Amino acid sequence: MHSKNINCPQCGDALPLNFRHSKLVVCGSCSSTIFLEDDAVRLAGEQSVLSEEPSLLQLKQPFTYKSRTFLPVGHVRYRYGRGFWDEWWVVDNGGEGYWVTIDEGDFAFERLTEAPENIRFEDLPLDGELNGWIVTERGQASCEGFEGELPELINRGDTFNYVDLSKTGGKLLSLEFSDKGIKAYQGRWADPFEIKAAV
Amino acid sequence: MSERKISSIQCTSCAAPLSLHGGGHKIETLTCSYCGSVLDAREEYKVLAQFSEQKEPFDSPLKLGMQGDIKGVEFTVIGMVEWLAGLSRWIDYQVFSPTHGYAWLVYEMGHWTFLRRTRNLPSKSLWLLASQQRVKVDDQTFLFYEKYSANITYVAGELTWLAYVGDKTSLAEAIDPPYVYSAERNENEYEYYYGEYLYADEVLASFGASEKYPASKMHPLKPYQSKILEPLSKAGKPFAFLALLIVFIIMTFMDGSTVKNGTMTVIPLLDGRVEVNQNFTINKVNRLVKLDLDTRHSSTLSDVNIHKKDTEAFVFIGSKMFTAAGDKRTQVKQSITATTTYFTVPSKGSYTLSFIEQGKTNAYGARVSSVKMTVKEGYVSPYYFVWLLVISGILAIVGMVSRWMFESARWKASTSGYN
Repeated sequence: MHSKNINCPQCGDALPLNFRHSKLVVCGSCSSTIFLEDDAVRLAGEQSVLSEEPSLLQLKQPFTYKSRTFLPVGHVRYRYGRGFWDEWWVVDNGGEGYWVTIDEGDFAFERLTEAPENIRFEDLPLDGELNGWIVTERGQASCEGFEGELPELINRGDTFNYVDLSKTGGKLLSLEFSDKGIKAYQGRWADPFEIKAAV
Repeated sequence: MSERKISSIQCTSCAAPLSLHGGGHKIETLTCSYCGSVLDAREEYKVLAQFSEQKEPFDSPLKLGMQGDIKGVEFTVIGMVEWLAGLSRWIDYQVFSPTHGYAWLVYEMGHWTFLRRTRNLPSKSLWLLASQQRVKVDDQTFLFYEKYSANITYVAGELTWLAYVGDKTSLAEAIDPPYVYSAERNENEYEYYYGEYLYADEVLASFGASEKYPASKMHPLKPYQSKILEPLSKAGKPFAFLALLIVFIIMTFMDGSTVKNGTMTVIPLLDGRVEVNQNFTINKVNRLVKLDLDTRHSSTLSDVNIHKKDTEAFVFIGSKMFTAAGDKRTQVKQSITATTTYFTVPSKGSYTLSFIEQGKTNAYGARVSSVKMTVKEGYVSPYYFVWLLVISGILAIVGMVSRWMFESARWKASTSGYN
């Protein structure tokens, strides 16, 4: 796990980083959002505060899944339809990062992958197929807020269309369509009963 | 432990107060337990349908709003659905945890199963399988149990799907007790569930509930349990194996060395019988000597005497033996065809075995003994280990038979067709 120290340009408090490639960090003291650009830091000029909701994962509290230990270092909440889902940026002992998506007991581990070319949100209706993947959910979401450190630049209020696709073996492919392009994440569904607090 | 969120609304149909037990944003409907109206939880609780004739299950141990611990996680009962399939009737309780989401607690005839939706698909379609055919899900192998169709007879509370009284669904189940993998098929989709049998006393204690009726004896997922036979069988197996191994070693390698073998010489007597006198030498003192007398061709046999010079070692008649030295380690087995004797001798040397029998005439007209003798020294008896083998073997077998009977009863209700 990588660790370097910078200070918050707003309040001066230390910002210990756990992930080498972090692009964004929220100050634990003043909740300021700080963009990390190479070795420079830039104040995004806004505060991000997430309401506390019950969750198996907690920031900076390690957990185990299938005998591997992960540390949640960042957390984003997206609102969709009538509810929200959480995405946790977790880092394993080798410094590799994963997104853990949690939506009311539906857990999935995903990683950024190459996005399919020449595909539009409109081309993927519910139950539609894409290279052997079946569309199981689609909709629109917006970022409600975040905390900790994240590997991507995210702005509160960012809105995008999303499509979730499934495959045999509990595999999951998530596509996010925004005016910045398409992002794809691939992974597997996980059983929340297998997620335990690390001792 | 999560904070319990309870709010209430008035039924938009009958105005009865309805509690919302904290089900999350995936709740689709709220069904009024007073008037049977199904309300759309996403559209201002507008009435979707009404089933005023529905009757609450008479044996439901749980009520909406009850909270209990399942596998270390606190769940709240937020909804319930009663199903009927032929003569079978069960209740699905929709339970919710803010951290672990939605699940089902299934109650059937006093037995409980905890079901959760899974995205792991089976290696082959459950709908095409016959009883006890294998199907793999991830790394777990299940045996197909049954498929059937069921109808909803009662709905109450919050549900993550639209459920009407009378709705029909098809189900297929494969089991690996205490686990189950089931497929549900309705008009539009397939859904798969992974479940585990829970012990009734633990569920009831956790939810602070009680049962009104005794549980049925058998359930497809009920693990085999016998408080007496199972531990005895488990304990018996290693002893049986050990005893079998020892008996094999003793009979193969410790059977003794032969010091005399063959037909014995005789002295014809005036009354037509023959007197047998046979010498043999024993070098291993305080070790068992095994004497086999093959008497299959002899109808009479007098007292058998074994002596060293003029000192009588012992005499035996039939199955009883009397030792001159009072040695109690000797024993005799006698059958129609053979007499086997085990004894020890007080000192090394030459011993003589003698007895009188009817004898026989050989092809040359000479009188010979009709008894064949084998003497072995340094013999080790497997006697006590044979008894250990018999007793521990019986215990192991009784446990296995008991389990086989239990499994037979489990699979008796298994079918490959719809009920």
